[in-house]
Amino acid sequence: MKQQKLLVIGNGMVGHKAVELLATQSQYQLQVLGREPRPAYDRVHLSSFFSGLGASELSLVDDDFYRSHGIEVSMSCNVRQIDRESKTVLTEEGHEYAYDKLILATGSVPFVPPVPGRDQPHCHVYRTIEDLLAIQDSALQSRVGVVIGGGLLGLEAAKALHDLGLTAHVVEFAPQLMAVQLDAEGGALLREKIEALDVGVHTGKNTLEIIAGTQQRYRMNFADDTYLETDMIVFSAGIRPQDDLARQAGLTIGERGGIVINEFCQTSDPDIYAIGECALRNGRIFGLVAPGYEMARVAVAHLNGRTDSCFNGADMSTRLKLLGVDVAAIGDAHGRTPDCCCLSWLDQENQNYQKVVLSPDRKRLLGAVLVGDTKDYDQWLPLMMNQMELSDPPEYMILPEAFRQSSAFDINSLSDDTWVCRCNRVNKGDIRDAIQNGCTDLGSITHATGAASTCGSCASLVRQILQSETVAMEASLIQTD
Amino acid sequence: MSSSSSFSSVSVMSSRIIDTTCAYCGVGCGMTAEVENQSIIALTGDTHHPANHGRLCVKGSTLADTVRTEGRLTQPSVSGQPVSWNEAISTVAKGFSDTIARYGADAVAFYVSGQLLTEDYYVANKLMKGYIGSANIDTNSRLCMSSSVAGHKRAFGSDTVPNSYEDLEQARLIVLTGSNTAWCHPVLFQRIKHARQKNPELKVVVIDPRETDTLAIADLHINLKAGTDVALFNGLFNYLVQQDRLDHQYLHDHVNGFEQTQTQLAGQQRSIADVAQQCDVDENRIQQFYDWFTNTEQVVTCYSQGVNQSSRGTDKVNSILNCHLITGRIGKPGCGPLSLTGQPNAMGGREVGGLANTLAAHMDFKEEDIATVQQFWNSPTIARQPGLKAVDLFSAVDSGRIKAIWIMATNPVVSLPNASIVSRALQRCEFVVVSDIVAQGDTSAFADVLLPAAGWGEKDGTVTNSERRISRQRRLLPSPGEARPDWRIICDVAIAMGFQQGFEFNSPADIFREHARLSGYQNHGQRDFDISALAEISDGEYDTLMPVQWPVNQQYPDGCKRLFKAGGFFTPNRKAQLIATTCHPPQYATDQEYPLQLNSGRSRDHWHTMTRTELAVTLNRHRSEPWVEIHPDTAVQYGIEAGHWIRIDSQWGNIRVRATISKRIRPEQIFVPIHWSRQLANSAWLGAVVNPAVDPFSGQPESKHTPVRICSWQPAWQAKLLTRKALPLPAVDYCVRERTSFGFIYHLAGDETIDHWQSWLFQQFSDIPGGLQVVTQRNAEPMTLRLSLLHQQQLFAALLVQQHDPFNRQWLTELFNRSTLDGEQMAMLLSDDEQLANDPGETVCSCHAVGKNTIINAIQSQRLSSEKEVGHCTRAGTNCGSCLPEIRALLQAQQGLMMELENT
Repeated sequence: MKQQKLLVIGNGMVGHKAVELLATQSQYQLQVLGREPRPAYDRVHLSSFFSGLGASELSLVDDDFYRSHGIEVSMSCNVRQIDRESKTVLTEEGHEYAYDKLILATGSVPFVPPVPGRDQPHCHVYRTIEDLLAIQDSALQSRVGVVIGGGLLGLEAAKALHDLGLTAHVVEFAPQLMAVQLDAEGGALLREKIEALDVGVHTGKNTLEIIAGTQQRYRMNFADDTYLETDMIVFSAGIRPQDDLARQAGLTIGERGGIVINEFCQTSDPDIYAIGECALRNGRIFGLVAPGYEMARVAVAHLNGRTDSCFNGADMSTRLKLLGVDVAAIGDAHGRTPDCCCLSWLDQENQNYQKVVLSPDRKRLLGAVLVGDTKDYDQWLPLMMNQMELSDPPEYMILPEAFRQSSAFDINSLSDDTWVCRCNRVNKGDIRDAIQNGCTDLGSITHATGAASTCGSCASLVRQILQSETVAMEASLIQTD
Repeated sequence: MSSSSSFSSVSVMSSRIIDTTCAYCGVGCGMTAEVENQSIIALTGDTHHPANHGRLCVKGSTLADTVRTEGRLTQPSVSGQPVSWNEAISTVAKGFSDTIARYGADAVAFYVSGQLLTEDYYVANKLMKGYIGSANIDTNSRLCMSSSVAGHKRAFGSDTVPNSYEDLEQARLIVLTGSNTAWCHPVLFQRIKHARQKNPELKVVVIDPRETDTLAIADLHINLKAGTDVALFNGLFNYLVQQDRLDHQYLHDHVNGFEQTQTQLAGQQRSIADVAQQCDVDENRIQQFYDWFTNTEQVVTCYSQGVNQSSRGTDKVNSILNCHLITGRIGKPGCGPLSLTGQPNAMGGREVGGLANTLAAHMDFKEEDIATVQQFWNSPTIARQPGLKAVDLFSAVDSGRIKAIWIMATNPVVSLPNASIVSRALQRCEFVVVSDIVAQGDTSAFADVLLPAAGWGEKDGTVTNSERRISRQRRLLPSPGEARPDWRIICDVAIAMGFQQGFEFNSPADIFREHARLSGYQNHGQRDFDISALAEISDGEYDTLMPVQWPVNQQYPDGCKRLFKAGGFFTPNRKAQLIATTCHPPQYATDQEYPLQLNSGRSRDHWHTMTRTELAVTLNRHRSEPWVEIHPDTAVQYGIEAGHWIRIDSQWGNIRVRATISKRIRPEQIFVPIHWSRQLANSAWLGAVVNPAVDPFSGQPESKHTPVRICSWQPAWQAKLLTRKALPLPAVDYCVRERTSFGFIYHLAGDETIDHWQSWLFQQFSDIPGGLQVVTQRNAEPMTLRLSLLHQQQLFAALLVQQHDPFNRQWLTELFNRSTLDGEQMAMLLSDDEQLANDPGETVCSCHAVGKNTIINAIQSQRLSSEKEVGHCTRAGTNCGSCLPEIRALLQAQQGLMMELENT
């Protein structure tokens, strides 16, 4: 039987994850087309670029990965169209690639609001290493920098400007920062903390135009008759799925963009899959890496003829450090579940905010928000993910430790099938096995299982399991002695 | 003050004992204060004072709690800017002088108060009538007992209360009409109760459309239809005639107009059946009342606002007086009409001429009176005709006829009827001066000049109670800040206006002597009010003046208990005048659009616009929110349940208050208390709803009857906000502030969901250094929010937003009373526990803070059957006893319930 050709368009993190899986798990002949000049790199840690991490350190691809797996790769390659009838893909450069199966992992593009004056020099987006290079260049000629957009990426960008030595400001349309992940109280505390770092925060601002400034290069005029002067601007006002090719090929597209996929990540054409931020499942775009990887896994399984794994949406829990501030959101952070009950603790003095969203009977954790001290994330995430019944009255979960009745969380209470690393689908049993097979530190566990290798938010949970297992093993050793 | 301490105070250790008189109602109870280090350490009833013999009500016994510097006005201000007294005085003087120069004397007005002392009142009246030359000085007593004044004057030729309180002990029948004595004159209520215990023969009849707590001592309740009092008493008149139980000798010797009155009245209310029908009362009750009245020689009829506050108030008074006059039951031991006044010095104000239609010292605008007064004052001018009465006076401000007004010690924006016109008038008025003791008030908000006055316990002077008894109020403490006594402020303004000669008084005693001299000046027995025997008393004698009933003159050097036993009325022929009155319905009738009658009155533990009683935590326990009382049938008709919010609309305004459902009110009536000002509640401004109808003779407003319609208002949410400190009233649809032991409780409700509570609270507490902690519990359905604000583990505020009422006041109060919360208590703030729903109920016993539910539980669980047993088990009712009627009602209700259960 002739080897089938599988074409992957897009070489971002998710596209690359699919390629990695396919390289080891399938019989397809692989062809990868990437638009950026370099192969996949770690976009999650993009801002580390400014703190000295080079493009090579960020790269996710070993030098001889493609060659050793016999994968054909074309970089700086702009696909122009997909001809579904002839099952070929045509590039701007005039090349034609035939496929049997096609994966679209085209990702997303930054959304730039239609503000007059947005196309001037020193106005940037924040997505690629090339964007970062341009920002770096502008920064050398600027004193003040503004990020439009107070979401997760916007704050990353603000940190970048701040680290580049600029007076940085964040301008947000919504009344609070990180409105997607955080509730109003969490957003307010985050704001306080960010302002304490001398980063200006301007919420509820609708930018009407960008004109020449008097003090700085530009002046941004807002709808409420206020303004802000700046030398450079970074747009980070959200993303839009990169679905042009799919559109042109006549695939089904969501009302507000995104390539519609089924539970196996197939588009309306069963031979074409879409994964990552370009894909729309159940009306949602998933802008985090973990669900992207999950889609890659599901698509690859299906390409391998398996129908036992599905993608029907993903948990968007996340834990981040933004401008040095620890922030985490778990599950239904906004408390949108009908009849749920929210308990929160806000400590202005110690700049901490903790909120739990509980089931109506207050027995299960549905979601949480943490700002300031996020160490409870490790304990709460498995509680939410595995729908565990809470052992203690939930009100103690959010009170400062001094007031809690017990440590509230026993790592041993987690069953082996409890998910620990969602990016790489590692459960507690996998980690235990790794430890019993001789792993003695985080590095070796990561190497063995993949846990904590992507977003890193499970690292401390892995450490706790390691510690608890080591103690248990030592105890059993003493007994057998 | 040095003279005061040498005469009237006795040094005990470092403290001083000073006798004085209560600040509240017209009973005028004597009090004994123990003062140490400029604070009142004890305040008890004066056992020697004839008004109360040592008794005090709950308001009086907590009066010391209201003497505080919190919220006091302490510095004069002009246009909101603090100024010196000199500047303030000259601004006021210039404002008035300029207005008078440009527009004439009638373009200015004073609106004064029954809270003023007689000496304050005297100089205010003298300045307006004798020096400015207008009679545009009226008082809030207009709202209170001016119908009694007019009735007295029509019948007696003078404003004379003929009897004494001790007649209550000597009576065999006491008729309480239009008087919730239990709540409004609690010490007289206690005296009657005591008299009943001593004399089981004594009968008490209560005439009131409502079943009030006064019924606790009643043998008979005449629950008449509103406004039919005249029919009831004219029927009594006819019955007395029919039964020939008249005092023919007295009629012959001392009464005018019997034939004519008899003839006229004979055409009305001919039979008991007529009366019963007209008053809508069971015939047997009328019969019983008439029989008792007819067959009892010693009858005292006490009447109060239920009679006075009516468009026919004066006629009502005369219909009562008629019955006493034809039976000769007046001025004798145990017999007579007894008007119970509302305010501590309404009587004193009447004596000096503080009403626009009197001149001074019970003289009117007769030519000879005008001449007498001007001659005595040696004043540059004099008012020659009556001025504008309260309601008309503010209408004249509204229409711009009056351009400058000085309001002293009263809050007309709250208390006058059709009050939105009052606030509009003050808004329009060119020059508004307000003398007050509190900094923030509904009326002071309109002031161009604010003058800080000395309050109760900070000034010296006299007051006169309902039985004509003049008592001293004495200074116990210094005034806070720059506050001054009213008489001093008025004299300073008068002098600054150029009236040096008439106002160079050095002390209240100086003023009192002049007032006493005027009362005797060219009197020759022509005028009832004569205290000329006190005209020459020394400062020392003034300081030690013992309570005395006027007249105090040559004939009665030690005062006089009773008048008119042997006639001697102050009409031209010295005979009393019968008045043929006719029963007329209230001026504004109910109709399809406004089908219910709004009645208004006092709450047990509050006083006027609460500027004083609100300060005493104890007094806020009885009722934490204003309410409307509705009959169960009416409630069913409108789909209203207890605790529902009700919107009440008249054609003049609207309020929102919560419903209490009770058979104690007639189905066609609803009742709302008068007290809550806009400082304390944003939707209970009763004055704005009340109609502007007034009595044609007295000018007293018809505050007891306004046609209204009601509807239920179901807010989307309701909340309790407990805080350690006072906050500005949140801008929500319903908000009432209640003072409590740790701070305040705000009762809130609204239509629109509020999302910004947390940031609003943060703003209010932004003065706390180091930051706050907030624990929050939020449920989507049913919508609840419980938000607690802490600082270093101390609870500062707690907000409970929910759809239903219950909140455990006691438990939360305990948390507020702790200096820090432990983990368990903090967790409780977040718990789902039912603890928060255990409600001890509205307070019945204020003294010991015992709630209704607590008492009911005790009655049920321990099968209690008497007030004494309830007191034993719960402590309720064991201190001042003001709540005993309520406890009794609870006992009766529970017993009724048990019987029902047993029967079924």
